Amino acid sequence: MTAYIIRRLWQMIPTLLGVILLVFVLFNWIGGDPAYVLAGKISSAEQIENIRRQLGVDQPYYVQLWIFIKQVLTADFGASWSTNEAVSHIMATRLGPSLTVLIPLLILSTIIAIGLALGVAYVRGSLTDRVVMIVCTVGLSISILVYIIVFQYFFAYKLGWFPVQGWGDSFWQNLVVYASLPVLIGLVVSIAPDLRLFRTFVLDSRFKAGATVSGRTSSCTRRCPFSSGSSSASHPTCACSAPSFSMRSIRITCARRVQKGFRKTASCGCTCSATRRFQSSRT
Amino acid sequence: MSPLSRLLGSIALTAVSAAGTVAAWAADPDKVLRIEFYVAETGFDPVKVQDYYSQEVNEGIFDPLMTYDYLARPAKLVPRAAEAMPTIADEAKTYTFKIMKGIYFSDDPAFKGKRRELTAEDYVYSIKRFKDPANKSPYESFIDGITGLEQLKKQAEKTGKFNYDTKVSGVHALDRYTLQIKLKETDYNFSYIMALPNFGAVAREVIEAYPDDTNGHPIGTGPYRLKEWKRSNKIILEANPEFRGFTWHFEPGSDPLDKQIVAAMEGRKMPQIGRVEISVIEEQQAAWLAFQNNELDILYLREQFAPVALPNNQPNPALVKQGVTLNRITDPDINYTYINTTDPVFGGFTKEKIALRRAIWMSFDNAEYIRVIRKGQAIEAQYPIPPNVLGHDPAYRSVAPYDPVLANKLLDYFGYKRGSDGYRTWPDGTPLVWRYSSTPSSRDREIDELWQKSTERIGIRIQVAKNKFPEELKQERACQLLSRTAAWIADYPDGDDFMQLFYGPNSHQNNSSCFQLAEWDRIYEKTRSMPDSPERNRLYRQLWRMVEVNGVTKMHDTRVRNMLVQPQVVGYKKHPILLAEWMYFDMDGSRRQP
Repeated sequence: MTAYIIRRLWQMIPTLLGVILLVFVLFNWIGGDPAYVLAGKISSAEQIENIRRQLGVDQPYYVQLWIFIKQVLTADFGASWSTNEAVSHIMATRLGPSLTVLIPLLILSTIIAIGLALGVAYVRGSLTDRVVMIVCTVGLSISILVYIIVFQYFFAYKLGWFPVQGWGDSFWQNLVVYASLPVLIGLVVSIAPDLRLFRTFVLDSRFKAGATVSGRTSSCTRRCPFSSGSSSASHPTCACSAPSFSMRSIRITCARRVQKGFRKTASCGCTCSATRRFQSSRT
Repeated sequence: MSPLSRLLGSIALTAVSAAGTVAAWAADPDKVLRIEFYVAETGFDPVKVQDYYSQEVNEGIFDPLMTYDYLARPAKLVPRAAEAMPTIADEAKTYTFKIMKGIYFSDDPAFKGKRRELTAEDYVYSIKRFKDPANKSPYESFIDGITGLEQLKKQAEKTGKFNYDTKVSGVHALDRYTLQIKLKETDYNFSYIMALPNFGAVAREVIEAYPDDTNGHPIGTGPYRLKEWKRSNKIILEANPEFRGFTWHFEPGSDPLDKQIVAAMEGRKMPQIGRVEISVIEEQQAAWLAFQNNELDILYLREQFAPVALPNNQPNPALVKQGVTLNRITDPDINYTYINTTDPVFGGFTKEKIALRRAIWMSFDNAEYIRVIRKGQAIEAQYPIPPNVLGHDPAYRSVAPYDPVLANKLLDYFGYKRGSDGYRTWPDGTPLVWRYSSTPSSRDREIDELWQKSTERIGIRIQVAKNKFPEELKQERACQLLSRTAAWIADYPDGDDFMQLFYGPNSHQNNSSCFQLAEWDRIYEKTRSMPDSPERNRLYRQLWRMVEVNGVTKMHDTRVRNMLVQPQVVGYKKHPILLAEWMYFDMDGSRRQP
């Protein structure tokens, strides 16, 4: 186990180096030369050279790369080239307002989506279910930018329920007054896909007695409809597990009886039907 | 007078002057002006910033020597920290400024509890800061004309430290309140440079107390000081209690608005506004809605909402009902497209090349451009000097107006035959492609389409090259760019600021077209040693004719600035050059609509 951890840790290093190199190349190649914009309206070649010297971009690339690596290791984000504000300060000051909007959004959208999903799954197949699904699909097809403009116009300006813009000084004022419209817009955008996904999970779990979420050892009581004629085992047991709520990579591991490690072999037909069902209930 | 009354008189005088040093001109803290910035500011060190909004705040915090009369149009220079207009001698090579006595910096711990008076040495220090390589000032070249500063700069580059204590003959203090500047060449416009907010006075103690954050500690002698600063979000300024104050007195011009303003403001003690709250609102709809909600007092209305807010360029009925008025002026700017005449293929001054360039200019419809891109919020420019700038000629007509029929005839005449694909080739038959550069922004994409439409009219194949703005600038500075649509806004209201855009030696700097013609340069150099006069204007017309005849550029437009003003703002008139007029107008809460 320890060996495994250590192995993964030192495998991080070449990955990180690769990322650093890639970011460095991208920013220097595609980012362009900042000196010309910082130089102002009337500037001679030597003034531009001076700016590049002050910023340190006139040094050879390997020197700049080494400086960049050092900054990454010491978590030194440096300062903005145009305003000279420390980047860590920029992030620290922006973090507060961002979290004031994101955390309530996350909590509310999860609770509401799960609640609605339970309700909708209960009446599965009914008209309510279909209508809600259609509304969700339509809802998530509209860009968030449209919501922002329309909601700002109607709810903030026309009806006056929220302020049009601004941010206050006290945390509670920000949370209740200023963050409420952004949170509402965020809810409208995120509930739709979440609702569809949670509905799927709820429905799926109804058909599986005893299926656990992080299944290492779990078994379906249902027989696999297509048995691809795999060797030994009398009747294959399928462990259907959904290791996380990640949308894209739902791994269905098929194993026989009790498995020791993760076995990603999908040799039994349980995978196919389960995957298909997952796929069909998700757009 | 009896000795007793004299005694009483002197006691009264002392009492009054003592009271005078304490907030005799205090602004009303209940008068709050709320305005917006569309683009975030960068900082408040006058040497380091070049963007419009940072300079606007600096104009309120720092005192340059000169400024402009609030009402006079065209803009008229008047003294600000200086007592009077400067004494100009030696054919405008020596400028002597006398600074007003009794101007004090706003308080800061760097002054160690003492009141700090403004002296001529402060201006010497402030000007020297521009040449310090560590400051990498974008406005450094504005004082290139001052003698003696180059040596200091070269020394600083060698040793790595700028020596502020070295005396420089070009800028020095004759006595505590007298500043003298010596220039290398005749320059009648130097006083204009001293009106830029960048040249406001800073205190050496403050700069040295906060070496890493001069942007965040602006301490000046101006009417306002920085109270709160949430970067890129909110700036709050309050009236500087140490400000000397002044009495409002400006002569009205011919504009009927002037008379109203004079009637409301004459004789008042300024500044009246005690607090300025600036919100950075980058989204146009948010600013527009906030203004309609009365959350903002003055709005710079951008083009996107001009059709809604200003049908027929008048405020719409809803705004009129709210009591909102419109302040509409032209910005002192020009927008133009150029072709690089040093380009080996498209450049040169032979008849065929000139014909091709002029035909391209004649294919472009400025009226359509103004309608589509500017939404009608611009006026066509035919002359490189815009209105309200000295040297502007409203009667001048371009040699290349919109005339696609004539353009086609011209190209046919010079042998630009159409090939089998319908596009014209060079007279010798080689394919002709006009490379036009622009940035990936949505506005530039729209302008690209207009150019594509234009070149289709005359059968020229266009190739649009996309580059990020810094990359474009870099190529342009190297004279490698063939064509681009550029803009220039005046730093000061004199025509020279615009004519120098075509001066040969300014190639690789702001002569974006890299236009170089010896005869042109000779005439231009003559105008440099002339003040504004009919003689100079005659030479300017001649110069511009030469540029147009050679097909160097196509002038497009001068932008119109629309300021929407709530009824509670009294005495406001947008100045073409001044950025922050807050100390010249007033707020009246009783006129606010609920």
